[in-house]
Amino acid sequence: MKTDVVIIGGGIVGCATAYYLSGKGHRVVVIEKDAGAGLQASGRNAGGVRQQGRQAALPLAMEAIRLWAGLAQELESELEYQRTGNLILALDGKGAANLEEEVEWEQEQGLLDVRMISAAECHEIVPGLTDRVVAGKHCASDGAANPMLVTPAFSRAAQRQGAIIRYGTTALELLMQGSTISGVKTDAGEIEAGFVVNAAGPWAQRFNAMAGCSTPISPGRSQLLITEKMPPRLSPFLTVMEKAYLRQAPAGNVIIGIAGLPNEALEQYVDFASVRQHAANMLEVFSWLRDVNLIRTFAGITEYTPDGEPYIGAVPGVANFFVAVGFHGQGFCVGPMAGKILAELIDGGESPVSLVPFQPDRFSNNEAGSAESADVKYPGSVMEPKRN
Amino acid sequence: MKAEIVSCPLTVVGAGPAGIRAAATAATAGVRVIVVDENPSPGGQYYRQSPPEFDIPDRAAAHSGHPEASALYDQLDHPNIQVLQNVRVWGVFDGHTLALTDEERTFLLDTDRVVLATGAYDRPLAFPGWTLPGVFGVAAVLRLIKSQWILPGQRFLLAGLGPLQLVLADFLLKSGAEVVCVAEAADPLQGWRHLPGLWGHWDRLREAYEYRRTLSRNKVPLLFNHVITSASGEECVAVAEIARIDRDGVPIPETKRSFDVDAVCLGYGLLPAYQLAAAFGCSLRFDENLRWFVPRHDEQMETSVPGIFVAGDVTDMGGAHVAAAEGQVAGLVAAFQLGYLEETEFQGRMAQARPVLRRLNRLAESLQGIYKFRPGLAHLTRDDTVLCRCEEVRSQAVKTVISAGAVDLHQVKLRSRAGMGYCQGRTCSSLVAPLIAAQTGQALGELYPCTARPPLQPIPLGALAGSRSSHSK
Repeated sequence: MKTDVVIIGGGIVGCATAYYLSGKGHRVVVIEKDAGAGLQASGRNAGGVRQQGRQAALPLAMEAIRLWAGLAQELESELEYQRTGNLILALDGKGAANLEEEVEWEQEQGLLDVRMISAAECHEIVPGLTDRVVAGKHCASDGAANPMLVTPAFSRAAQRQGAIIRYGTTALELLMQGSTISGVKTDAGEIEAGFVVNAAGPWAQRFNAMAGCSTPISPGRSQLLITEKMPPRLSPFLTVMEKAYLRQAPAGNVIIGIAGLPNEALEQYVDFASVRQHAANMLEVFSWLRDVNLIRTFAGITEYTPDGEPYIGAVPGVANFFVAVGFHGQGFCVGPMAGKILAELIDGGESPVSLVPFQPDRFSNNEAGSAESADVKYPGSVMEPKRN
Repeated sequence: MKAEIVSCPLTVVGAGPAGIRAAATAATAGVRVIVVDENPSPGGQYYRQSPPEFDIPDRAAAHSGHPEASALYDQLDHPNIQVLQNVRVWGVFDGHTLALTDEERTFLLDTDRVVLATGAYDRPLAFPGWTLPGVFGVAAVLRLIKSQWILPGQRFLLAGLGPLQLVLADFLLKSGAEVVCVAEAADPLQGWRHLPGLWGHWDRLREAYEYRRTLSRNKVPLLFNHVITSASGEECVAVAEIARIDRDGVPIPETKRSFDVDAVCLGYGLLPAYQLAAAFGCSLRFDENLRWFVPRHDEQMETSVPGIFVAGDVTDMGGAHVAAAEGQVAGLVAAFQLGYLEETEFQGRMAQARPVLRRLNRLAESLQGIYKFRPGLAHLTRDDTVLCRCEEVRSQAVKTVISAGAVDLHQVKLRSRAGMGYCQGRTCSSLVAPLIAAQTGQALGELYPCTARPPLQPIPLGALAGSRSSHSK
């Protein structure tokens, strides 16, 4: 079959790209190996939509937040998106000092509603904290949405605009004519296309490699613990520095998440030791959780890049091949914006934010594994739980 | 902080007839066995005991009314057997480690072989009004009567599928309640085809005859080919409506009739509690009579995962005798695999056990054929009927997400929340799946249940993290 654009991957980035492209009148086919949209990392995360704590991707995240504001209306779907605020809790002086550095830098970048708050204010915002908390950093325009609803909403909206989504179909290899991409070979035949987008998340590297572009991605595992429903108690999305994050969903369940567990085999198991550790860590800060029932756990595959930034843009050396992968835990928040940017680029337009930090080939010329991050040194970096 | 780890060559989960027999058989061969049971005392559902706090002088009555019960419990009294009562298995990690909790703390049980004798639970039947107070499941009412000595109503309508209804009707009548009608969904004419399987089981036939005599003595109508179609009332059920069903189990509207009641008791058979087996990765098969999934096993009761066995109602709904016979086979094979039985002795004992099991299984299969769940019984709902009770998801909401592209139980769960609550789909999966099948044209047998992830049942975070009391501040 023939189409204008083939997108590999029906996660949040692939479906958003399909939505914005089809909105501009392009014929789009999305190839998705699973039976539905957003069943991997896009649907298996805590749903944070946050700017604070980002590094080179801060401008991208800020642009994404503006996009999120109108998304539910645009997609004609309930996404449970709310600007609940995002509060990072520091448990010691060193952590608090790091947060102060972050605030200063983020304000310089134009994120104006981020500020340090005292332990007393943290207790006011989050009743029932233990005395472990020494300070917090709050960003009012950050929030959360329901990951289980967002990607299916993009896929439905894209299909309403004529996009075709092929579930249960696996992309095998890129088709090239000289140095120009000409389509994708799948397990259900070849699809010819003028443009190809690689949005295959942790499965993306081999397609990029076929195009001669090395995009190092190491797979990780995130684990989520879901409690029974509780009366409203936690309003902002919370991160306990170096431990875990949690939020209370609109339905009342508390979602406790941790990222960065090792996962070479791309699996989604839940392991006992980290679930237990994870629960114990949270009880140190939220002791009232001890009598709350855990009803569900699940794991998701996350992707990490050497410098913590995604690969977004045209792949140099191959005409008409674009990527948006390696989101390093920020894909849910910036995914819709990444899709919008790719659609702009393919349509001949320009990205509203600089893509220089996200160049897909920035590690291609280095020796494998010795990739140096960009010259800029960012503050913070202690927010994400440590990787094992 | 490390969790306490105990280890044991053989773990038996569930202390009903299957579990007790498996444990006793292996223990006699010399295997050290831990039996994990979530109830305060052994017996399972069939031989359920009154709570230990109840002071009941007649030991047989306390022991569920089955005279053979105390002999069964005595089998657990063996130096090789350690019984953990009031302990639940809430997860399986690394394929062979069970995570247990007594609600206060959690600990791990490292084991080589496992016999899953987790039994079965009341099959839910969704129809308008099924969630009204006063609508009970058979197992629940039997449990209330047997263990708590409570009669939860005075005027009962019984609706269901299977011989357990007759047992309950007999029980209720003898306890002084009124039974206005027994609506039995099975077709006695279809049942004749299965008669050869009943040949020789005279004791069971006599039992059935006795139950029916109690009904006729009390002038209780027993209506075959009838299903409950609605229950209604202000705060509690007051009226129950039944109708005749056609070959496919679809109610015939002009045959509807109603009864004034204060309790409805539903007994549409049982569903196997396969969740723990699924957590071990055991494959499930779709059973055409049951129209739902059961763990697959071979002649030796071993599942698709080597060293993991099933016995009893968790896989072959055949009642206490089949359960005990299967437990014996599982116990023998586990003991042999662990090196506690010589080849010749093992073969000899299996040669004795197999024909007994085969004979009992033939009966069980006949009963399953007579009491097969007709497809129409899965389509009695209206759009506003609740399907998922934990999350209060109605039929309409499920249909909407299916129309919007959800094609399996997992996707329906993610988008509609059906199956996302306390029971994790234990109750509603068998109600939601037929809707997906009907709307998408898939076969019900292709709609595999969602992945069983820990916790299999809710566990307090404090008990998971360490000990609940040590965290109190």
